[in-house]
Amino acid sequence: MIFAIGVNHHTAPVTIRECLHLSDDEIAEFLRVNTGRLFREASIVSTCNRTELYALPAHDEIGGEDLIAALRRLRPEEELRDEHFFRLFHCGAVTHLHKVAAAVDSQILGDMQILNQVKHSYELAIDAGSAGNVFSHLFMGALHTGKRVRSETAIGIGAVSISFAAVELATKIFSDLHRKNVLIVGSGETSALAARHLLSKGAEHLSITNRTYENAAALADELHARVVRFESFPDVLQEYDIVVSATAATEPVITYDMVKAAMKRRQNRPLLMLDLAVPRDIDPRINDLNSVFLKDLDSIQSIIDQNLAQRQQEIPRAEAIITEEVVNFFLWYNTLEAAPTIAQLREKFEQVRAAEMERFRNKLDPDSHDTVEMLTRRIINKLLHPTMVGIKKPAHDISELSSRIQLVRDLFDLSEEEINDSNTSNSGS
Amino acid sequence: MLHFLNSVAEVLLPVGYVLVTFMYAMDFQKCEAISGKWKTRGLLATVILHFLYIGMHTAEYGRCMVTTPFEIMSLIAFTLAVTYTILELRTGERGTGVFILSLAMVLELISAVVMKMPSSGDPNPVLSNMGVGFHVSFAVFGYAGFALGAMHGVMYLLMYRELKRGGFGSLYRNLPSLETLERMTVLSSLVGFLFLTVSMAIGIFSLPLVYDNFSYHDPKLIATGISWLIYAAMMVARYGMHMDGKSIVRLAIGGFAFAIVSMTIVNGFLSDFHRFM
Repeated sequence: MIFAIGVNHHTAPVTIRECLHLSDDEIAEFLRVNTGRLFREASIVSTCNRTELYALPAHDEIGGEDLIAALRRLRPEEELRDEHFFRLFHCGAVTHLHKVAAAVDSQILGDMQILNQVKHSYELAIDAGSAGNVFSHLFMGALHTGKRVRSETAIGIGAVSISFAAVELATKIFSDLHRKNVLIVGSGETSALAARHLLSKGAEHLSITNRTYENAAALADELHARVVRFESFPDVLQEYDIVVSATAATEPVITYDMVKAAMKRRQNRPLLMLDLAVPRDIDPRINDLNSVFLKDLDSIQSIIDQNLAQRQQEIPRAEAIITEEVVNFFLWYNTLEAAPTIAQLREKFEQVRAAEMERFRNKLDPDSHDTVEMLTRRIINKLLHPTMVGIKKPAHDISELSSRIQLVRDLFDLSEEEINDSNTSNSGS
Repeated sequence: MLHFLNSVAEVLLPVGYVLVTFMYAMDFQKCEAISGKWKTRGLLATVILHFLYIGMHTAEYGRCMVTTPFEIMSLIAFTLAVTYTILELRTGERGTGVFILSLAMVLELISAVVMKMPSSGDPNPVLSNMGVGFHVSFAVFGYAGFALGAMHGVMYLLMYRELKRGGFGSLYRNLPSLETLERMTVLSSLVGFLFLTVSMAIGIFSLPLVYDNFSYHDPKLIATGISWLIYAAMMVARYGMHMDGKSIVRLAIGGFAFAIVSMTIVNGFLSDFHRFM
């Protein structure tokens, strides 16, 4: 049975999630130490919003509480308590991993960054030797689900953060940010963040102005931008296509008359003005001017709200894909039930073949013996092939598979003891 | 047989345009369960059917489909659909589909309803003149360019309004940027303007040779001249005076509206020699 235990944004506040956040080295060490002892296969997904252990226990006696206890030993902080952990078993655990990979379970719905994080977790597990046959199928399936959800639904479409939404807004007015002139008014944290984001999206011609020239110069230095003196920026306002303002001023920094004059000078070419300050820096009447698009924090938030609502509508389609892929995984997983019987059947045929070969050992010269040896192996393989394929055929119902296995056992007279032996020898494969 | 196939196509074509436009509208609203990947296939099928129809119509009547305004409307609808199909296949841009195909659908519907007209009279023999053939063909491409420009202009104004009032709905999500829409408006109108200019130049030289009663005071010539002047003014305003995008797209929409209304009126009531039926 596959287990999933851990903390995430549904079960624990950020302070607790921080406690249990694990580095790559810690994950690798944990997986190495406990593989074979606590679990046969395992992987840990640890991001800022979740630390989740997926595991196939080493034996039946090991349960979710043992896995939680092992994780808690890594971080023996008092504030980390049992109730912060979720516990999911088998189908629930598999479905959860698929939901995580598909970004349906993300704090920001559709945040596809998680897909890379799940992939990274799987790679860590491979390196640590804790990802075997089952977890390879499980994680490859989950990653496939994530990719399908990303390409077949619109769950990751539309900006859902202030800075992304601001840039998205700019791209709805201008086709190419590379050639646009951007003026950042203010040199505080918000201004710097907005400037960095615009730079990352291709804006190249950046200018910064601030009441304190030195602060503007410092930020401009860091971002390789131009500095414009605060007293003179109204005179050059017409040069800019995007103006982002985020100062701590209590009165509007950019007035109606200032922009009206600038628009006349720029022949009414579109101007995007983003007012990220509270209280606002830009006179709201400016939005009445032709070709000026003034957006404040509330307007940008409404873009985010609409994008999130749009993403919410995609959840049923994403869940349909998840269900389909989880079913596919279990169709494969159920066939593992047949593995001991297959091994036993092969063993039995091999014993018969070896015994017969032994009987004829003295009647064959060495060359002929080798030829017959090869021939008999090939005959057995060919005879067993249809049975192997039939028994491993995916079954929607585990009882169907069980009765199929039972039929083969009865037909070939395979005993329970031998099955248990095979089970033991196959565990961990 | 050809007549029967033509009659079937005359019914299927408007139905095809209505269905395809509906699918693109659904896609615009993201009701993909209804539209899905079928819309592009549907569009391709409709365009191919339209192409075959033009061929069959030409074969049945023994002349190009340029004799009545309603045949020309069908040709413009075809040009719009083909242009959009190429744009979509090359750029993957689907947001503008519903607007352009809506216009193609309206033109094709009007054309289909009134298409019975060609059989009511013999085509004008001047159509066999090479110069006249080029004149009419270039005019069709010119008006198709104006139509495309006007549709992008309408999209520009809708997007402008959406951005101004902060609605951020499906128009905001699906349409390309204002700058792109403005560029497409100007580019389509410019292509239309160039085609119309060539068409007029050919007409000025070839029409007096084939019409005994040729007159420069013909209402169709005057209306076309005014349309040409509107678009010429638009080009001067855009490239010479750097007029803002909103005013430019208004000129493009106004120019197209004038062209369509004036052509309908002069073709129906006023034109003297400049008719092909």
